[in-house]
Amino acid sequence: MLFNSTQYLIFLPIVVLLFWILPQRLRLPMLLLASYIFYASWIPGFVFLIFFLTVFNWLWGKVLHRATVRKKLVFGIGLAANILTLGVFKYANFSAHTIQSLLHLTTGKTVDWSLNIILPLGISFFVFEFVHYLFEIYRGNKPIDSFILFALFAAFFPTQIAGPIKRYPDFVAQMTTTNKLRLQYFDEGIPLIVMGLAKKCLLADNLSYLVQVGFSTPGSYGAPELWLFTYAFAFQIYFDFSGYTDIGRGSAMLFGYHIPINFNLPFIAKNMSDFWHRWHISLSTWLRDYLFIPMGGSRKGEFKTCRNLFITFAIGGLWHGASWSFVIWGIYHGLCLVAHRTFANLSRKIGGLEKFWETPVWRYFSIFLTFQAVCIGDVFFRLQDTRLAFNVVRKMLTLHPIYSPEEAGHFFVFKPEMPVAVPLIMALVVGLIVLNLPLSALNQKCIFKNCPPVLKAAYCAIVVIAMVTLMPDTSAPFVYFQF
Amino acid sequence: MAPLTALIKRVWASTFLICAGFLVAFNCSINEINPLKLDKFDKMKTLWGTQVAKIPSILASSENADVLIVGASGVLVPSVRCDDAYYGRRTRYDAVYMAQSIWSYSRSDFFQHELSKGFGKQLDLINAAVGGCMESDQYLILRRYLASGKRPKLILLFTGPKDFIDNWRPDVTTTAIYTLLADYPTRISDIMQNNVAFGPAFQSLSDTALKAVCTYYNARSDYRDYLTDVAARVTGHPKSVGIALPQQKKVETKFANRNDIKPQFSQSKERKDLANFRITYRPGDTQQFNMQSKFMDKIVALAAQENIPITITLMPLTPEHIGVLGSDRFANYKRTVRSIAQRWHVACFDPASEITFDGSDFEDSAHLSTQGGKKFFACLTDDLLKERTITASLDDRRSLIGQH
Repeated sequence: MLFNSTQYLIFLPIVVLLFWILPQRLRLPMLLLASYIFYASWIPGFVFLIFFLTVFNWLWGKVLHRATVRKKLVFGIGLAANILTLGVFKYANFSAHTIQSLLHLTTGKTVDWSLNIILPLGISFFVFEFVHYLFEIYRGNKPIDSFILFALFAAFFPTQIAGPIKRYPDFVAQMTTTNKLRLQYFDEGIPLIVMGLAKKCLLADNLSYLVQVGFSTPGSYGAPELWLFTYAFAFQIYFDFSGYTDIGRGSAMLFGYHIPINFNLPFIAKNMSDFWHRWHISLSTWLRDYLFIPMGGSRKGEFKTCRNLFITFAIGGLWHGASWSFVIWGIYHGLCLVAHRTFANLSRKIGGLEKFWETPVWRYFSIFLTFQAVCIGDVFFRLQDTRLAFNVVRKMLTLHPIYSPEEAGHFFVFKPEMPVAVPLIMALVVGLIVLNLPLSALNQKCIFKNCPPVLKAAYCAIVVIAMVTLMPDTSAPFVYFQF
Repeated sequence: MAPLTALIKRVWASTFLICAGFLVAFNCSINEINPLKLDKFDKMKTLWGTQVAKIPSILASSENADVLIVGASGVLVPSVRCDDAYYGRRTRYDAVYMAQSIWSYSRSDFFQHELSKGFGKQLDLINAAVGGCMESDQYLILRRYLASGKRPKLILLFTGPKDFIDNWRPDVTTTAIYTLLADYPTRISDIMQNNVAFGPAFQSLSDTALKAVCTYYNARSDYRDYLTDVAARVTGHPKSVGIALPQQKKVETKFANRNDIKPQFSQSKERKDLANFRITYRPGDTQQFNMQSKFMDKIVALAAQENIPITITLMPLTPEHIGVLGSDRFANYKRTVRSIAQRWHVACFDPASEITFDGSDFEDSAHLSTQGGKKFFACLTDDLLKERTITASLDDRRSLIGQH
């Protein structure tokens, strides 16, 4: 069941209604049942996977908490079980394909080891939540006593498929608090859902048309057009994923629960480090807490810090998808972070430039530069064919050719026979780039949050009408569902 | 007064409630003003050029024809070709003609003429055959046609294997006819009878529920179409429904000058249409075949329930087409249709077993040409004349189905 389907528009009010009319003690079991129904609406069999993983981690958490000797071993077994499950479902096909290709390269033999394993929805997210749970128990925190509460932590439908990756102390604290129905929950939740849907259906889905046009045959376009398609894709994944998060946060708010934000205006980031503090925040903090810091973090000298950053992001790339293009994407981000760190260290050592780093000129330039760097990485995110992705990046960086090889002297996308959707979406991309800074500034000042309810309501109503009118008939699934 | 004031204050402070109020007000205004002056049937405008475009007007029409044709493109295409020849019109074989003329055609005047001549009285005929539709769609069309108060004296059901096996339409609910015509009882009964998988059925049901609640949601595609039209006029770019891939550019250029349009069928006769049918038929879905057989049974049962005579006619196909389908499956299809006809004691005609159709009688592997159509309708008229029940029914003497 997708958040942007009419099914969800019926499912959510029913669950919300049941939640508030049921007595407190039945609310969490009902929410758990609803979450399993939500999950089963895709492939019912995979409910057992999430259920067995939940049972295992709940029991293992208790064992780990009681363990006094060989605690590290007990923790390691729990960790391995989770990583192995993720590995089998997510990386078995990829590994088999890689070995096949290597065999073909070295021996010339072609073997077919296709495993055709279906990736269960949201597995990367709930496995990361289980790993976080085991880590925290290992570090001495108290495990969750109630199985229903623990199962709900993993399966809670607003965050089940694509996060944000929750932290159990915050979640459990909210779940165990007695809640009373307040109109305020709806006043905060519904606008979040509306904005999330608009980001997905109105912006991301329409942008995806242009992205599909561009990336289906990137060889047909000149460098400026490729930049335009890449910008469109950058905004598409941002609106797609942050739209999903907003719908999830808004849905949780209808039950009176707060889910942490996952995005904080990432396209006004001043550098790559700042970008990762604003983009997919729950993943970047997870990677920091459970990968970067356990590897030594930034405590063991500059070289090891850079090494840890690089490894963390290469693994983060692989987490995004079982394909070499995602590994390259992760490595690219790791390298960018290392480069930024080195540059920041160097600039600190060079005297006399402190004032320059604070000027608006440098600030806007660094925002511009960071956005370009992110967009270059996104080419690897979009194109699974790494050779093709490198070619596209080469064309973009060298700005050659300017025009499409087939359309000498013309930009293909400007041709008059292009359907009206193409120039309109191109205008949308340009508008988003131009308005990115002023809109982000307004957002930072919480203009929307602080305006009178009637204006907020009018804004939401206009967005709903625009969305219903202009959304495509067939909405693509959320980009992050594949992870 | 105090509680009321408190309530008003509370509502006025609620974003959610005011927003809901705005949306309800907007929906009511749209309903009242109807700026695009939409017709009674939803999606009327956006149906233009689609295969189902003709159905709303057939249902809304007050014409109560003597004979109703139910089927797919197998009977629709030769009806158009024969009528073009009958009226001396220039027929065309391009996609534009297909979309604008063939799919929307609801007559079969040549066949009507033949029938009237044969039965010795003027008979009216309405052609409700819809390109690409399956037995489940034909059942819906017939049900809605009868529910609209019309009562034909004879129903002619034309069938082909594609009405039973179609990999392009794996689910009953995914067809355009189902989207257009299935009402709540139909949708719910299809779920209860296990005719559709719960997931897609629930999706289409919830979408229909939303359309029923919200007029604007129901007509959103019309408004979007209107806005696209305005944008296209302002920018000078063409309107388009698909994704503008570079490959499509060449096709569009080709169609820019209509005089350059080449007949598609002459080309497809050998290659394209058989390649498409390969995907249509292979791999065959037994479950789908059984499901569609059940719907053919329901069509005949519905006619019996309404006491209207019905006949089933197997459409002729080229040997190449049967080769793609597979002779075993073709035999199974014929056996199934005949067993349904036998069970309900209705006539089942197979013109291909009575007269010979050669290559020139077909414009592609599944559709009869003008020449083939003339032979087919003449043969069918002879077959119908031999059926006493039908003669009686068309003579306005009421008779029960199966009394022949």
